[in-house]
Amino acid sequence: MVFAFSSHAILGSDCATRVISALPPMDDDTRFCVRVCLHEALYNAALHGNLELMDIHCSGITQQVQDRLDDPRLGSRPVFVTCDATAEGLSIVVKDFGDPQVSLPAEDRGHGVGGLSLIRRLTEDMTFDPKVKELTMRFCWKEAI
Amino acid sequence: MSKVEVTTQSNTKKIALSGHFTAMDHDQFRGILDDLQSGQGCTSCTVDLEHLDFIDSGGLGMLLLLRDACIKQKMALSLNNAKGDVLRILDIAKFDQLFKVVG
Repeated sequence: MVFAFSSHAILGSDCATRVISALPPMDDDTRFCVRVCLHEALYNAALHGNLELMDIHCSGITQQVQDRLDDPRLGSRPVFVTCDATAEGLSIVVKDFGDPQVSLPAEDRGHGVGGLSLIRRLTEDMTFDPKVKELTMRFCWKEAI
Repeated sequence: MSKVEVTTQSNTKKIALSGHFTAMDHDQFRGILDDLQSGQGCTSCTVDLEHLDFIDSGGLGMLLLLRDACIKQKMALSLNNAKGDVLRILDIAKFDQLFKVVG
């Protein structure tokens, strides 16, 4: 199952919930983990990947985001989400089209509350390949539905 | 986007968050931080999370900025009434080690 989102859609709506609604039924605990991780991965892909923003806590960030969304070179880049559900669990790959030389997802900041830190804690396994800008997250089903 | 309401009662600044608190709320929240740092005689700050449905790493980062501002102003800070997914995310981020979390 493959989804394509614009950065504008990711930052303006709840795309994580839209993806989850198309997936097989899952227990509440897994749904929580998938929702949080998908949200973080999509925001990382849009802000740090496609829009190439390094610091989202700087002054005037809202205007910076809008300026880059309006920039045809940056704003037109999509984010692809590929989901593969098996009997054992769920694999989700989130791919952005930022420049690998200048855009990396923000690593953990300060107290370890960066997006990747949350994803690490809520997935069975997480890998990021900066060359192809792909974040892969794996979840195991906790309860049979 | 989150709705942010700020009120002052006696010496306490109360910040009420509702909806989804994410990186996209940064500019709105930055105004509150600036106001807090200007100093208005408040000795404590509470953040009411009762009507907050979701918080992401960007929102957590803003709470850390608020914590830094309160420490600078020597103000006590607490996170109040978090529940459901928001409480769980605060637990995962180990915010109980950094904030006074009041149920």
